[in-house]
Amino acid sequence: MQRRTLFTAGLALALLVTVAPARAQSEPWIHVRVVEHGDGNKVSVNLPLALAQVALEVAPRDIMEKGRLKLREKDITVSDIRRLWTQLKASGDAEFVTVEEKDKTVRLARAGDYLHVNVNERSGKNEKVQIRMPLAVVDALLSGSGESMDIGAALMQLKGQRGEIVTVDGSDSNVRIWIDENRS
Amino acid sequence: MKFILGALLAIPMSLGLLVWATGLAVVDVREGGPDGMRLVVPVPLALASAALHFVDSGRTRMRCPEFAEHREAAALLARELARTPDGRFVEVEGRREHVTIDKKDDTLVIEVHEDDNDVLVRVPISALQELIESYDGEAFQAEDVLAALRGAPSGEWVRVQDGDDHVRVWIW
Repeated sequence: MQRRTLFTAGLALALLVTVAPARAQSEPWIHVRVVEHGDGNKVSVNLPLALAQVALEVAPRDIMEKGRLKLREKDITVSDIRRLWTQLKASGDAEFVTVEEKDKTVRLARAGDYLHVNVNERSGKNEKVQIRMPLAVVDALLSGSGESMDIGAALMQLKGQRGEIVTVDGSDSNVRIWIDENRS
Repeated sequence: MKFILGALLAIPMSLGLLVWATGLAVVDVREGGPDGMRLVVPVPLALASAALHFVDSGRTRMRCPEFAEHREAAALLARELARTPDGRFVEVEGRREHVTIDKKDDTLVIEVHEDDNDVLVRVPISALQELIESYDGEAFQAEDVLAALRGAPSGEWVRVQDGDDHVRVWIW
């Protein structure tokens, strides 16, 4: 009896030691790194996605309301983007937009479950922007109504994603945003 | 004779034990320079709590009506923070400054180093939750603030160094 109790306790302890860190590890964290070239300033943000979601919900109301970002763009409205996105999504894998200018190339394409945005500036700035966004995240982002983007819903979708989302190699700074299960 | 000596020793020892068991907040202010002032204020939390019973309740209310609209959000954020695993949330490294925000155990630790200025703030999350919960929609009660302080883990809560001036607050 005593041996069985000891065995059960030992097993429970072993499970706790192995499973508890694994559970803590499996929670997705969003990471942002900004490295400025000139001053060498570095900004590093690491947040569990769940905490980022709550932080968005409590952000000041003049910017966000219940995790929704209100845009006041006059050139293109969110409703326009939503309409455009519905059409683009229906057309399957394709290169939707390619703009080749003298000193800039912009490419917008869908490959599988991802939307890829690549901007390559060759002028004085010499900047490269790469965005790899899961389609489900774009859907969630545009799921709000009117002129608002649902950042909260987009973060919810990001929970299932891992890897690099945004990379900006600029002349002034480099920015990386990615998701994994590490805390730093 | 032994009995009297024992009784005399027992009084400060019991008082010391009481203070140790019920918490002591210490505020230490030091001004720089040769004529700098030094002020150390130890506050036995149980004694402060008891003293509040003799004060008119209207005077122990710390009015803060503007917190009402943020209460729900603050409670939500504190709850999520408590649930979040430990880690370094933010780090800013500049030429002259270094800022970090970490969560260690039950505490949010904010550190700012800039030239010869240093700030350290440790916020026990459980005490913060307790304090938010105690808000009555218009004010905090001094008694609830003391209760939250008494329940918080001991250690240094605030350290500010501005040149030669120092301020420290810690709880035992």
